[in-house]
Amino acid sequence: MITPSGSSSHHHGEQITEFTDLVGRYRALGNSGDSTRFSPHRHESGSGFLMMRILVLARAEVQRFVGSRRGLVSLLAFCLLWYAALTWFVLPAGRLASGGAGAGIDVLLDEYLSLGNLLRWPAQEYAAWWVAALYLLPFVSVVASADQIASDRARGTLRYLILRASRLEILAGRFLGQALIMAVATLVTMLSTLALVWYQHQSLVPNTRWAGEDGVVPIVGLAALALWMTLLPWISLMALVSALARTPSQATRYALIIWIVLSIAAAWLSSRWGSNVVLDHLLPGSPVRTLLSRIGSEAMVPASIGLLHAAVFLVAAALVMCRRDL
Amino acid sequence: MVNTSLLSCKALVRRYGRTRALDGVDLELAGGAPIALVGPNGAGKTTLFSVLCGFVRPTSGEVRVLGHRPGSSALRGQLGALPQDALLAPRRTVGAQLEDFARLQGMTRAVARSERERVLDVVDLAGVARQLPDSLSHGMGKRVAFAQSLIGSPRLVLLDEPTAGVDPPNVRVIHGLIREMAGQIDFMISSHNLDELERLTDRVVYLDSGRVSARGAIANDDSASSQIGRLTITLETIQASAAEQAAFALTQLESISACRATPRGDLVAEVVNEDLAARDVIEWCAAHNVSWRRLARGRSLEARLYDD
Repeated sequence: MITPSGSSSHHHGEQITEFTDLVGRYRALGNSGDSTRFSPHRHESGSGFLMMRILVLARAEVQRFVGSRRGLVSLLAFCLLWYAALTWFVLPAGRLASGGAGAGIDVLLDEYLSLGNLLRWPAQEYAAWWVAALYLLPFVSVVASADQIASDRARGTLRYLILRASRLEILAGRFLGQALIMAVATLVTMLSTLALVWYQHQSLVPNTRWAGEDGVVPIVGLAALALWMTLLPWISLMALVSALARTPSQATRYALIIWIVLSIAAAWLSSRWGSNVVLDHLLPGSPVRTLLSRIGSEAMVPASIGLLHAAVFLVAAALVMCRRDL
Repeated sequence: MVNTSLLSCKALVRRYGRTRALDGVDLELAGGAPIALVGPNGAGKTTLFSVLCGFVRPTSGEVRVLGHRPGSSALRGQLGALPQDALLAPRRTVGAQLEDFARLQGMTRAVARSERERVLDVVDLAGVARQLPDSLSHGMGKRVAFAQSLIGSPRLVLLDEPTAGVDPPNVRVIHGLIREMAGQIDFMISSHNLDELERLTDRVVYLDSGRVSARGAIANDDSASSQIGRLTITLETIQASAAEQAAFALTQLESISACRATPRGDLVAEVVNEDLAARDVIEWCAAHNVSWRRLARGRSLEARLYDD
């Protein structure tokens, strides 16, 4: 046991005059003694304070993503993929009635939708959007959210945060930030499809009304919400992967491997046993087959399974975060 | 100066696999002058620092920082730290990140912004708020890191190698700030640079092989309680034989009871009256045409830790 003495026993006598200005400024700005050690600026108040902190972390995550190379690559990949989907898949779907749909609509009908399901949508473009987004956006979310933790831990940035926020708050903030990013991506797909429908038909609702049970707003709006809910398990899975990985590149490799394995597993299980409740609860991505035939509010129940998956992965990620060194 | 328990460790152990980075650290430190945490590579300094900050969890033992467990929410705003080699996120501006830190400590947006400006002003980098961290030099980056540790005017600031790789002008700025703020903030500084630490404090905790060594007590007690006065003389010559000859000659002086040359080349003289001995040394040097560069009371920290 060592108990050093409490005060300096000798002075070096060196005059540090060049620093007087700096320290004078420090004091002038409100730090002149013990009374200012405890900041008078805090407004800690339970859950409101917690929410504010998570929102600060979420906003930082969005800014970090947008400014990062990974964010730019993800954004570029998303734009290119979605442009291709609009051009080769969604746009031709609107020409079904005129017979000018081309090969894309054959694939849509053969592989994903029955003609009956296709025609239930207010416009065929919405059906094509639904199918394309259900398969495309999970991939985008996996790539985009693969580095929620790993690079900041490798760089030491998390150490600055952990002095001011708990590990769980950091995890929640980053998850929320990524969820917001994917909400924007989902909205972009929806709004671009609405614009396409408007361009094609000079109306958003060629075959139905705006509102009401079969109106375009509840059908497409709820479909977009369901779509976003199916992305949450992927984002939370990537939170877990990123918490486990040592480096960002390792997190990306894990992410791609997991996405491919789970997608293949879900497709194989669906093809072997068909879409059923047990399978839908088993893997993230499994409910996609079920969701294909649902429109509007019908999609909410299978999509809500995603919330369950997200919760499980987040709990696992929280356990990893709490146990790992930073 | 608040004189409550600053840091407390009891039988603190941290293992990495089979390696015991901390092997039963017992430590009780009160507030006061800055505390130097020294020791050779692999001694466990950064691990102890990381445990105190809550970056890593102890394998066993008890740790309290300002009376709280490391990582406790009660420490937010009271504990600041400059972790070694930690970097800010590269693609967000310095100002945005410091403002977020202040907000996480509970400040409103407006107060967080002024706090950001204040701490950057303290380290004389008021103009870098809009810059990206990558655009700063290493020294400026360290000063920004030092600035973040001051957000919210914490009670205790832990600095891990705060001047490693920093050029002399930036080192002087950081030292000046520590020296002047030591009256309001308790500092614990981990460093390999004993000359640097000696200029900042004489309170030393010496870690060796994951334990607090008795050398720490030697370093602290040397000038505080010992009855033997010491002088350290640095000669212009760097030849070991010349230093040894000078040490032998100085031993013959009446005011000096013993004198020896250290491996570093300094002469350490044991004296009863430091002022009298200093005068005799200067006169002896002048009489024998020996050039001296520095004459100081006591021994250097390096000599106290390693020369016995």
